[in-house]
Amino acid sequence: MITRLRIDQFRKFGGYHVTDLRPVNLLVGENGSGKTTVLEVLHFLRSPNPCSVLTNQAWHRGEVVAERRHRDDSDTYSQATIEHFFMGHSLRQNERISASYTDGAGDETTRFLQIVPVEEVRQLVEQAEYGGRITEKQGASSIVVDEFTVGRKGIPSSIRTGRFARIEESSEKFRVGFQAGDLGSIELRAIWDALNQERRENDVYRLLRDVLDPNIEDLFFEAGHNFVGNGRNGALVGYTGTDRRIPIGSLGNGVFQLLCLAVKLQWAANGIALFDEIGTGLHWSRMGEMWRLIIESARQNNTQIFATTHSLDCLKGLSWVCENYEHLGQFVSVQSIKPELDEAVALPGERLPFAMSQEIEVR
Amino acid sequence: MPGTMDRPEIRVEGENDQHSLVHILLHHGLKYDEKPWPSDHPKFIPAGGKDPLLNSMVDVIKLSTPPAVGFVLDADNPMTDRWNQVSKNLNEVGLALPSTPPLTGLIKYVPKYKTRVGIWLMPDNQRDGKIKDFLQTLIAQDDPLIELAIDSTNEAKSKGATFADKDQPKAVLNTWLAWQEEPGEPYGRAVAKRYFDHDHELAFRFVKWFKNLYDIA
Repeated sequence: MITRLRIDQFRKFGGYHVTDLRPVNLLVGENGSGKTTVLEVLHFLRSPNPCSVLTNQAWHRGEVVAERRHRDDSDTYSQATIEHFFMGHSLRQNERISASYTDGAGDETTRFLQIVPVEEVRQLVEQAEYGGRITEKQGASSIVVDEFTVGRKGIPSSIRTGRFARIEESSEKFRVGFQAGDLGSIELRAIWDALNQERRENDVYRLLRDVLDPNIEDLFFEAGHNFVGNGRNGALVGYTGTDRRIPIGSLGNGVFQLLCLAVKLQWAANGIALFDEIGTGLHWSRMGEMWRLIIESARQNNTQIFATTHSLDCLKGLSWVCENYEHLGQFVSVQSIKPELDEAVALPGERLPFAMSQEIEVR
Repeated sequence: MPGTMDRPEIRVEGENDQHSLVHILLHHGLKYDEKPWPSDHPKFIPAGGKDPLLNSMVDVIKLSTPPAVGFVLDADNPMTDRWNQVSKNLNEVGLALPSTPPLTGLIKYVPKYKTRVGIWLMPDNQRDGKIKDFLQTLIAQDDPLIELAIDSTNEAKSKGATFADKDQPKAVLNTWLAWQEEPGEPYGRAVAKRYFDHDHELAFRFVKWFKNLYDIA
């Protein structure tokens, strides 16, 4: 489990700490404070494919540039750019962004992204010793990622060559579930199939029944649709006592949002689950039960959860759980992300109900 | 903070404290009667007692909206105990306090949380007491009824009135209020109706602390 996080030169964070992390962590803060960036950093740190993660994050944020297909061609295409990950929004030689996390054993793992000269990388590519993706931007740079773990004896456990390094394939079966917005059809079906293979679809049903409606019987995904796009396409919900399944989109946005949350939560067992704007579309009265099941799932499945919210209803739901199920408060931390400080302000779950009763504006 | 509903805060023990202080501030030109009130005017939050106020102090400071957060609480008896409790709290956010509160009220910058913290111990940062003593101080010096209220309350006590000794100031003040133009008004309304002398030096001192803490011109 990640207990501490450090972020250096990543987007708006010059040098920032997030401490006292627990199994379930709710990040709060103003618009533009960096809550989603913290999720992105966690994804970058723990994914077996950090280059893809960064590229996808850039796409998701619309951080793209128009590139010409050929020098004399007016035909252009969109290319993700990573310059906005760097403070000042520009790539400079030897510039580096890095993040580290500390686990329960006290070991610190660091991952960084550094700009090095293209020629250096090309030589190593030719020697087939590289691990990473090469792009050229303004003729200046390439991109490499290095990971090393410093154990308690302070000895790096992976190989590092100068300013360039090999990416070790992660042998650990570790999943990172990241949800920002709806799941697309392809991803939702792929995860659903994986959960069915592992016979864990009942955990998804349980969350839907306990939070929304005990009469939800099952889910079914129709064949024969164009699966690119809306995850709702062809997704049907069966209710007890009815002879026909109903398109999930007919049941309101909250149902689909909760389904996306439930499948990602189960899929991330023994890993980490990241939820941006958790609880969107869910009525305030269901928030408490949603959180109770999330916390229980985290404990049962050894999943660490990081979520963001602006919603007072969402925070009140979490507070309600900490107050009414006192044994669960110890697994919860609320982190107020304030980039003007050196570290996030942590509020342990045990103190959340009192803070809410005192109208402390945690968000 | 233009364009935001958010406001800095000032935490008080209860609603009576809130209403009394807001009306004193109104009499001194602050614009709590405007809608919305200016963004540099803090919102008052009654804590529901001194224990919740003290218990929430550290988290309030850590999570406060800049530029400042203030706390107004009764010194009670002895004042040193209350000051020690406040000091212990402020130590947790990296502040070392003087051994006694300053006459003008405490204002200190907290570097770790980039905010100012203000503390006012009622009545006047110098002696034991409560907000009731603060208000009693604001009664005009030539008021003929306050001495009568004190003597009457003492006589009532000698004849078996059951209020506790620590509540003597409250009994005196409420007796005096019972004899005003509108008998028995709550403190806030009594302040609003100018039963008290808002131009007293102590009122000026409090308002000056308030304005300095929140950077109000």
